[in-house]
Amino acid sequence: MTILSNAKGSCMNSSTAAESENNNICRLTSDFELLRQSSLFSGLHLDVVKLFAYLSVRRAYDQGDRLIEQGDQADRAFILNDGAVEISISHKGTDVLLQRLHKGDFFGELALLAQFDWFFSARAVTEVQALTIERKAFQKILEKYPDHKDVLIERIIQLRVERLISQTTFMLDRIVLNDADAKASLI
Amino acid sequence: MQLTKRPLFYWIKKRYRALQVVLLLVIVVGLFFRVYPLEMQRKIINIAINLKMVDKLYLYCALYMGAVVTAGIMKYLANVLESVISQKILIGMRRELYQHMLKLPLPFFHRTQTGTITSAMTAELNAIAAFLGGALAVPITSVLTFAVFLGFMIYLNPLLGLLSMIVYPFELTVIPLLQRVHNRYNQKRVMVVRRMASVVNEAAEGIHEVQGNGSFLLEQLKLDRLIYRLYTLAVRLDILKFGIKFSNNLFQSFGPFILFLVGGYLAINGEFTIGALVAFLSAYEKVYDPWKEVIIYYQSYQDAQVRYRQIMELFDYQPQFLLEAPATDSPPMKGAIEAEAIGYRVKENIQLLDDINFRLEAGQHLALVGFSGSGKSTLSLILSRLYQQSSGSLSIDGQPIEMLTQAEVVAGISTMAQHPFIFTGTVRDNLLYASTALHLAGLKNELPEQREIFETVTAVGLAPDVIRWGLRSTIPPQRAEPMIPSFLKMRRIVQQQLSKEVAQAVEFYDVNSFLRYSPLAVNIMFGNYGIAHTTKKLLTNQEFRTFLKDQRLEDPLLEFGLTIAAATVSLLGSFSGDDFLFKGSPMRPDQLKNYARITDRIKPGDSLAGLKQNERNRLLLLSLKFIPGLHKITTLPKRLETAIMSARLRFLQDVAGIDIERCSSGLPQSEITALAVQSEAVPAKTSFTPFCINHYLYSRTLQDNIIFGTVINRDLVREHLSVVAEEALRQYGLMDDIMEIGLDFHVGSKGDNLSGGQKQKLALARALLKNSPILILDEATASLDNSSQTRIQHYISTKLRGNTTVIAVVHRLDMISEYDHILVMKEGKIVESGTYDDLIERQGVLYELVNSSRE
Repeated sequence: MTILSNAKGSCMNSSTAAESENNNICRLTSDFELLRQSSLFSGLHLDVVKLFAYLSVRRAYDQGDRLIEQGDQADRAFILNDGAVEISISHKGTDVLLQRLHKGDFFGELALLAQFDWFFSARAVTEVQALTIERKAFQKILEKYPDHKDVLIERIIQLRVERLISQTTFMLDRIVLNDADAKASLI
Repeated sequence: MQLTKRPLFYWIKKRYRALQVVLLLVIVVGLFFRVYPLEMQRKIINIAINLKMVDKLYLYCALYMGAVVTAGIMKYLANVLESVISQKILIGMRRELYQHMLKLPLPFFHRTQTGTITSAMTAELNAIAAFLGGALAVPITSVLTFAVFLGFMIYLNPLLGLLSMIVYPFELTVIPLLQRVHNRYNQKRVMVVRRMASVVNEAAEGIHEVQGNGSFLLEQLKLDRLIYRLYTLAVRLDILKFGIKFSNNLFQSFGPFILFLVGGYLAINGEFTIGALVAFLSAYEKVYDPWKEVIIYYQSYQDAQVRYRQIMELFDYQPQFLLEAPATDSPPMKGAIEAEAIGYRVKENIQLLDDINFRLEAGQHLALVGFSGSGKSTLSLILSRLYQQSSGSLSIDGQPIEMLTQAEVVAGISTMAQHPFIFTGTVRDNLLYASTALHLAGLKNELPEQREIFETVTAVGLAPDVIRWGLRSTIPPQRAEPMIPSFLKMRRIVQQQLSKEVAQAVEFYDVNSFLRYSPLAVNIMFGNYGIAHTTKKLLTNQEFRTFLKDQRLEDPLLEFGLTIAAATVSLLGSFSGDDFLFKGSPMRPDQLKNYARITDRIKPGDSLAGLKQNERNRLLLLSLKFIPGLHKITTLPKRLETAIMSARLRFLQDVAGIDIERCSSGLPQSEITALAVQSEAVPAKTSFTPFCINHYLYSRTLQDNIIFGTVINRDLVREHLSVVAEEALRQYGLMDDIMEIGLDFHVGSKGDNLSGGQKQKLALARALLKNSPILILDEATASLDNSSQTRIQHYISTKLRGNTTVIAVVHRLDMISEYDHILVMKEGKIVESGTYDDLIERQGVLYELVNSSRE
């Protein structure tokens, strides 16, 4: 089966046949390229990546918009196509900044695996273009390609671990530095 | 008699006796008309034919046919009656059994698999029903029939009659023997089927785990064992069934053998007429019918008995409460609770609670605090009367709880569990679940009024959600009508205040820009067609079709339709039937085959001349339904986009007859009413509703109407819109209407459309609306954010104090100072008890807990 070549072909065909007048970029192809180069999907069978590109949804945000609101139902993962996003957790009424993410970064990847309510918020600090993948899409695709499941789950966990390490480091830095500040002020 | 102890025939003997007597009569009358033809047979041969009397022949034949037809009609009537009776009995059985099941103690549901209960209540009961209808009438008639035919045979020739009965004693011994073995296997079969239902049910409920772990083989193995077991049993059952059939046939063939041998001998010797022999043979054949029926009856009786016993054994528990109507003279419950030395033990003597004592005046608030596993939840379940304590006593208003009826307990105590269950249905259904139950049981005169519902919904913080659900609904025209002027005013406010803020989340209806999130058809018309916009109907509109041709849009649209079809068929051809995967294409999964047939013949770029009319329509439909921003399957050529934009202006002016200037700028508010009259006349003529600032769009949601555009990103819109919308709704006095509409929002199966927080708020509102004197909360706000928790706690401690006794398992220690009394629990025992100030002053366990949580 060559789903990929066909699907890509149809996109290519339509743009080559009408190349001179069609200025709309083929979205499927560009999203496919973005996903193919991402840490989660790189090296996977191209048919699978193609399906993910087809089922992913583009979303645009203005500066200050919330991509994720803590407490809402988590149903999709995000990959940043353009712009920067800040991840924070609201704790006892205060927003605590955890991390800043940039083009190509994934977040909310756990939503692909399980149902839960978001335990953090994500806010656009610039104008942001993001590609989102719903859990349902993830499940549907892996129903068709079950042998990809193990790899993807492992990568999601690795992503999560990376995130945990960098966020913890960030917090520890702040605590240590704040402490240093506090000590400095004592002297 | 307790339901589960009733024998099977209890249901038959006690129900629908009149109908059963009618059935019996019908069968007896039918019986007469079955014997009568035999007599005619004899007369036809012996009298009419022998004496060559043609007129007699006609008469006897007519009587014969008449009797046969009447017997057939009677049989038909009897069948219908049987099935009516059996279904009626089934109704009673199922209702009573369901009521019984609902009242069984919780441990029953922990022990028994849901699948087993489901299959017992549904398929297995059905199997019994078939037997019930004829349970009395069939054996009675069969025996009667048998006797009548036997009598007729003896009347013809006593010797022959008795001889032909020789085989029956043998059958009477052999068949029951085989049947008993059959029963044993059948019993096993029912068990295996039940277990199979449980396994399938469990896999379906735990599908997240199954798919998450890829445990397809593991689950398959579980079922395989049962499948093979079932196979063996089914084969054995059939071997026995056919064995019974075989032995029966064998015995039956002995009859004619004896008949021909003896009867033939007698006839040769002239001791028996030919007519009598023919009648005798017919009668012998007929005797077999009731016999067969008795055997079938016997088998289905055994089968029903097996199933019935197993169902009743499954549910054979004493319901927890004795149901009695509430004593009318008992005073209303006040809510004072006293617990004395309460203990709770589970199997193997594990003591989960020990020596729990407390006393609470009516209207006081008690907090249960402690480490996880300390028994707080168990205690709250005992207080809610969902568990029964193993020792100690509990009294309400000074009366031991055992003296109260179930009705009083249910009405007096309102409980919210830690993980509340949300029922499939609307928000309103769930909110009023408890109140409706009390209302139906006659324990509550009225359901809560609108005002009370709204107050409670607001108190638990669910109001913003309800408003949002309301805004997201598409309202039927009659309901929308009175509110339209206000919505149109709100539209202007939103346009002024929000257009910048939600620019990324909404695509506003601007006549000068291409709408990426609307279908191409909508882009051409810049409006909707008909009240419920359907593209298929639009295609039958001649005006529109002519317009497409005149504008030379038809061919480009057809070409594009072909591109969409080809792309969809090639990407999704192997996924037919999956709605979700087709969301990136305007094609429906069930249309795939039709389109594949077209693209097999004609590829994108080929000449369109070979397309038939219905194929052209299909392709046009596809491209007119294409939504550029949503359908990723292919990309809209820029040239087509431009062509559509220039066609739009012509369409609005020439076909819809709209003044574009006036349409997009709108008129001053004072003229809106005048325009409303005018605007009604316009769609009536053409059925096109243009996106004019003064037109309400019936096929769109309220939110779309207020925003006057397509919502691309709901989450973002919510953030910005809710403040402005709430403000405007209040200003125009529409809040109540929107909330009413929002309450009709469907929560999905088991509340799947709700977030964890929304579920908890809904369940809390449900518990509050029950208005019971006692309220038990088990971490009722655990999945809510801090500010919501604080607000709800504030509501509880201000509004409920003094009139509702509250017992709450609390995990947030900063909230417990609001309670009158605190119990600190550890390992199933109370380690501290007193007011907050006392306990803090004492510097004991609570003091430690509070301080450690602050650090």
